[in-house]
Amino acid sequence: MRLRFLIVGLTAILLTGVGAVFGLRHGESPGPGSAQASSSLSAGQAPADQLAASIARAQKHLSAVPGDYDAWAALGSAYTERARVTADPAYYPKAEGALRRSLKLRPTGNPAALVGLGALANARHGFATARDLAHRVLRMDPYSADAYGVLADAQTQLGHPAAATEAIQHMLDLRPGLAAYARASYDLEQQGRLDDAVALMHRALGDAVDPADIAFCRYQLGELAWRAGRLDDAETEYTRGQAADPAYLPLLAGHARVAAARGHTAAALADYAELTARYPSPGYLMDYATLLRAAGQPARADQQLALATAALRLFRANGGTDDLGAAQLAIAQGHAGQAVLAAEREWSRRHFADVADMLGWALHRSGANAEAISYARQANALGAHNSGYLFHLGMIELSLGRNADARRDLSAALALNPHFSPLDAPAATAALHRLGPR
Amino acid sequence: MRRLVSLALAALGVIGIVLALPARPASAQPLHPLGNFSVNQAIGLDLYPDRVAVTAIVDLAELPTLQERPAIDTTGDGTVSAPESTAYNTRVCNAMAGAVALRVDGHRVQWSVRPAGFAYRPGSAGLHTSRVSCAFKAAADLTRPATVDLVNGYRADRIGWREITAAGHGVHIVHPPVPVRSVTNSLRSYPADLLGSPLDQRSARLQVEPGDGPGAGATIHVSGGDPVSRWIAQADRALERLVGGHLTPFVGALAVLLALMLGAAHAALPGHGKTVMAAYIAGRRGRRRDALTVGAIVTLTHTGGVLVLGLLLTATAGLAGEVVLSWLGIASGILVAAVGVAMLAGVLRRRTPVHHHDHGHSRLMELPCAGQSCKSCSNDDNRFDHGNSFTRPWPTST
Repeated sequence: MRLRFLIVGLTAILLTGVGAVFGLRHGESPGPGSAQASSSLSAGQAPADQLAASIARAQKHLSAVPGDYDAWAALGSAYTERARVTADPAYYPKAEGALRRSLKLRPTGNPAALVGLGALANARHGFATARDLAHRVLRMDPYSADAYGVLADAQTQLGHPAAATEAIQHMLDLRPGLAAYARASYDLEQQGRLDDAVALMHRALGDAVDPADIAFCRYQLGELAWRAGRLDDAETEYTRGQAADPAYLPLLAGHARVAAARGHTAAALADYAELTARYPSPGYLMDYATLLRAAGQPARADQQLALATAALRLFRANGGTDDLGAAQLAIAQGHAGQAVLAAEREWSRRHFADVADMLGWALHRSGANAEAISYARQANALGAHNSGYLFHLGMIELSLGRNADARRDLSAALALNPHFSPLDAPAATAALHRLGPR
Repeated sequence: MRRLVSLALAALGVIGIVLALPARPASAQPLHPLGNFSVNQAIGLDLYPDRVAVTAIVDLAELPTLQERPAIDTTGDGTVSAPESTAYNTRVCNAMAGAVALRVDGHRVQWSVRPAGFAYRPGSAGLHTSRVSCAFKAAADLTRPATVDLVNGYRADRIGWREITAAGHGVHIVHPPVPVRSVTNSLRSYPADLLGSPLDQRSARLQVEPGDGPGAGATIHVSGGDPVSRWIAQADRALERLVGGHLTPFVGALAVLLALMLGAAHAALPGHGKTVMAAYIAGRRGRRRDALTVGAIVTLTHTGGVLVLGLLLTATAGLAGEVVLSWLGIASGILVAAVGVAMLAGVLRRRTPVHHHDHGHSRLMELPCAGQSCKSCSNDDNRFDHGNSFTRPWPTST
């Protein structure tokens, strides 16, 4: 009797093992391309090995079983993720194709495809669409932590912080883990609760297994330290992140910023050159341009801005909308009028703090300071303790002759992080100097 | 009992297969060869008895093309003149020749490099892509059997399609590992389907011997993996054909049967209080009948619990799933504790031998998957979502 139970137990373990082994074999079956693919990984070009693996697996599975709508949805979501990680918008149309295919195969009762479309909409900055898709999924499946994730991202970006917090709470209740903790940390950061945000990001880190995920958490911890002006801590986190996953490129941007803050401009420029060669996102290109300008290389700065323009054009050509980026770029190129138009377009879509900040700054640059100040105040209304927001508010107050306010806000910006921007931080110091002692 | 064992074995076999299907692979490939950031490369190798020749093509997508622009337009006048274009072509070809290593029996050949063309082509969003061609040549003695190793390390950190082709002319390639002809027509047309598996071929090892003909040449095919996974895929397809069409009573019955089988397999999986059950049987010195009774009770209560919960959730829209889950968590905790206490009490009572037979089977109730405790259920929901690979935290705005 007992022996038979033993036999059954052993067979169970054996068969599970067989499944696991064949599972592995199934994944890395030596096709003509895959043997080389693993070598490509060691070359360190793809920042997301697990993700690329999931994509390869789903592709292989779908070429064998093309009617598996779940796998199509998973593949579409993976393509979206890939676009985000590589900053290459060319994946968006493919993601949409795969997700629509999934929906075509199963038009109703297919929450996975809708969640995927929601995440895609968020990635393309279609936040209202993403919110609606998430709500549709939640009506079908109120347990979907992924849908709450999509909803949280959308509500944050749309400027509904309370709704975002609620969605994150649901996510935390349903599936406490890396994705939920990281979002919660960001939510707290938006409210200026930087210490709590750090604590939660540490919890996310404790939950991370993938090297890319560990690197992600380390990067976020580095960013939080950077925002508080703790350069050493920031650098430590970036270095630890690179130890976990050297291919996670945002860490390079972190190192570049710290190097620039310490006055190691040549090293910072070299980091940015490498970063933008491998990962030419509009944001990094603009950061690179800012540093080049601060280093007295305006011609090379303009080259990077031209690249950023092209990157934004490609983002739009692939179905994205980013008037916030467009506004930032227009300001960097000295086209204040265009920046106001772009920022107003973005503001008509969403009332997020970043947008308020950008619209206020664009209005200030075009001379409309009286209008600008209400937006700049709105950006700071949540109490984000963001050096950039405070600097913009202070400069607008200065233009309006509110010297006491300007002194307070510019000092606050520098107190948070005296190196917050290679161009703006010196500008803030100079403005304070002009204002003179109280 | 024997039947029970064989049933369990059959069920476990199903589990084994099910586990094998959504496998966790280790390979990785960049997906879209024509991403707007990609630097794509094709190496065409021609083998002659007295020499080796390479036709190398680099196809730069929109952003790398734009990034290279200042390096091409060295005068900075906004246009690319013929001398500038030639100079750039030469620079790229020299750099590439340094990174494309070909060894004949371990001896690296020295390329003589000839730039073979540079041109812009219209790309997306009104931008341009660019195409650089190079020709490398080197003397080599292939009049005897030899091993030819090719490694392409040019711009290894860039995402892109990388292909290698090889053709013999008066040299026979034994079991060629790479195709003779480029599937992309030398990076002119990439496969555009949603499942496009891009090539990332960075190296090739060719066994050559004197002889005629270009060799049969391998054709690119998507490998279905080992025989077992091929068979599973076939079975999966067959099932899909079967249920993908109209729902006939036969198909319906078959589906119910399959569901029963899967359900049995599911119930046989770890979890579901089987530890408690085993402890219970062992503690009671149970007979076959006890085991069967307990098994039946677990199955019935499990199925019944799931049905009741399902009905409850669908019938009452106001009932939030999370609340139910937390209740169930508490209830199952209390139940497990109660069973433990009851068993402990039983053991203590048996120590002081009062009575031997207890009819407490019904105390052993099984709850439907509550919270995160039931791993087999949550796994079903994310077949391709092991390790949270898709649900990374919020997308960073560009």
